[in-house]
Amino acid sequence: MSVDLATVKRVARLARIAVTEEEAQRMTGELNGILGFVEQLSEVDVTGVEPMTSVMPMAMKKRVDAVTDGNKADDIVANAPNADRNFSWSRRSSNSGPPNICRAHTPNFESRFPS
Amino acid sequence: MTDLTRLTIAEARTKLAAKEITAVELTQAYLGAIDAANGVLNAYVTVAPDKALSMAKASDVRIAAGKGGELEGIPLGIKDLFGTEGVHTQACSHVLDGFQPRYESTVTQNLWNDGAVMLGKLNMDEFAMGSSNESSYYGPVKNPWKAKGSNLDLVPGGSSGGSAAAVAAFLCAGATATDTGGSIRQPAAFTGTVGIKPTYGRCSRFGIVAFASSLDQAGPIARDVRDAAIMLKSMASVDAKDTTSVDLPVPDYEKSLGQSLKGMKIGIPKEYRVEGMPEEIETLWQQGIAWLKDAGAEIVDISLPHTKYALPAYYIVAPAEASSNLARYDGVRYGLRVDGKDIADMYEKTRAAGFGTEVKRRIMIGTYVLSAGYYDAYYLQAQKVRTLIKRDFELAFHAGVDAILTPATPSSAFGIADEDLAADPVKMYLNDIFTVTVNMAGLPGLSVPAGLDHKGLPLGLQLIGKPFEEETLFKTAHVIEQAAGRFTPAKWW
Repeated sequence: MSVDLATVKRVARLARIAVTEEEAQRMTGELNGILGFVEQLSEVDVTGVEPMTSVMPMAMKKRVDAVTDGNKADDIVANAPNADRNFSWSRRSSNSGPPNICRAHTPNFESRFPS
Repeated sequence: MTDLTRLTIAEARTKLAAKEITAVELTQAYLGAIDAANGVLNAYVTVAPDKALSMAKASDVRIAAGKGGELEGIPLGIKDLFGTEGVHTQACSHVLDGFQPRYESTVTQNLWNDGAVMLGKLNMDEFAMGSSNESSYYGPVKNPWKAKGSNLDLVPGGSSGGSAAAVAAFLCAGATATDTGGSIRQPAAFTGTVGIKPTYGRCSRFGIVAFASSLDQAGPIARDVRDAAIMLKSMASVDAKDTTSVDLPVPDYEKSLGQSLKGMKIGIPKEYRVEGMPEEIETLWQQGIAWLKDAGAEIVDISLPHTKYALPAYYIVAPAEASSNLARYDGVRYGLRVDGKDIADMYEKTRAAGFGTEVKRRIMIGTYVLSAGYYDAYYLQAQKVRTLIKRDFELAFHAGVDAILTPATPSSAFGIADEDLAADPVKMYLNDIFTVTVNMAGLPGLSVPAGLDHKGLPLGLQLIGKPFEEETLFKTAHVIEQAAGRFTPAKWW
C-alpha cells in the first residue's frame, strides 16, 4: 500500500499537525519508504495466531474503587502556558469573546463539538 | 589526588563507606568534569549543581551516621525522559519547553531513596525516537570515542546518547536510560559501556515520558557489569502506579557476578548473521562464543525464524503507540503553545512547531496505520507477528537454552550528519536490527563491550535472557568482560 499527497494531508489533519505543501510532499516520499519496508509483514502466515496484547502473561492488577489522590489543582496547572483560577485557558484571556476553557481534555474536542 | 571521576560505582562506594572520600568531593569532581567537557560533548541538557551538592551533603551526613543507602553519595546522570520534580524534564523536545514536573518518576525516586546524587539531565533523541541522538532539540551529542587518526565527530548512538557519552567520558558514575527498540544497548555498544534493558515490567514506567508503552523499559548504562548490576537493583521495583510493573522480588544482581557458567547452554541464532555485516562483527561474535565455551558453557545453534520481521513490525507498533501517547502535547496544559485562530488551529500550529522531523514522521505513520480501514492490515498483523517473534524465543528457551549471544549492533559508531543515513530513514532504523526483537518479545537484553574494530572503535555483544532472569545475563556478561577487558576513550575534549 502507498499513500498519495491527499492522504498525507488528511493524516496530518487527523494527527493535528500543520504541514506546508512542501512538507506534505516530502512526507509522502518518506512515508511510502517506510510503508514499503513494513509491507513484508503481509507475507507472514498468521492463521490461528492471536495478536500479542500483553508482554508478560499476568492478571490485570486492580485497586479499590476509591479516591487515592487529588486536591492538586495548583500542581496540575503549574506548567500550563495560560492558567488562571485553576483552569488552563486555550486562548489568551485578553481575547474578546467567550474563551475556551479546557478542563477535561479531549484532543478532538473541537471536531466533536463545533463552536 | 587521583581523579575521583575514574572510580567505578563499586570503588566509590567502598571509599565513601571507609570515609576516604566524601560525597561532596566526589560530586564536585563530576561537576568540574562536566563544566570542562559539556561545551564540547553536549551530553547534559541541564546541570543541577545546587541540587547535586545539597544531595551530596545529605549523603555525607547519612554516611557519618552509619545510615548510608546502597548508592549513598554516588553521582548519577538522568536521561531527560525521566520526570524529576522541579527539574528540566522535556524529553529533549521543543514541545515540552519549560516543563518541570511536580512529581518524581518511580525509578529516580528509588535511586534517591538509596542515596544517589543527581548531577543533571542528559541529552537524548527527541521523545527517544532515534538511533544517533541527532533528533534532540538540543543538538547532537558527540561520542567521546574517535576513530584512529580521524578527527570526525561520531554519534554516541541513541536514543540514550547523552547517557552513554556521559558515562564513557567520566561525566557521571552511571546513568539512567530507556530502551524501546535498542536505545540502551546500541549507545552502550557505541561507547564501550555496559547497558541493560531489563524484562518488560521489571522497572516501573511511572513518571517516564511515554513513547511506546508496550515496549518502553528503563535500565542503567554503566562503566562495567558490576555497576550496571548495582544500579538495576536500585531502579527495579513493583509499583502501584504502573500496573504493568511486576510483583517479583528484586534479586541482588551483584551476587551473580563470578558464578560459573558450567552447564549453561548459550544459543547462537543463525538469523543474526545478516547480509552486509562487517567481517569484524562476525569475528567478535566468534570470539565471544570462544570465551563462553572456555568458561564451561555449551554452545548450541538455534533458529529464530521470525527475526527479520521484528523491525518492520516494530515500525508499526511503536509509531502507533507513539501517535496515541503524543496526542497529549497540544499546547493547553503544559509546554509550548503557538496561538491560532481557533483551538484546532492552535493544536496544529503548536504541534507543527513543537515536534521535530523524526517525531512528526512517526506520529504520521502511527496515525495512518491506526486510521479507519488500515487497522487490521497493519497494526493487527504486526501484533500477530509479534506473537510469533516471542514464540521463537520461547521455543529456544524451552529446548534448554539459558541465554542467547548476538552482536549488539551491525556496525561501530558512525559520523554525525552522515548523509547516507539522513537521506533514508529506513537505513537509520536498521541500526536496531539486533536489539529490537528483544523489546518485541519483552525479554531482558544486555550489551557488553567486547572489543575494538580496525578503526579503534568499541563494539558490543548482546546477551538475551529469559523473562526476569537478568542474573543470568549479568554473570555471563561478567565472563565476557573479564576476557575482553574494559575500553576507555582517549581524552580529546
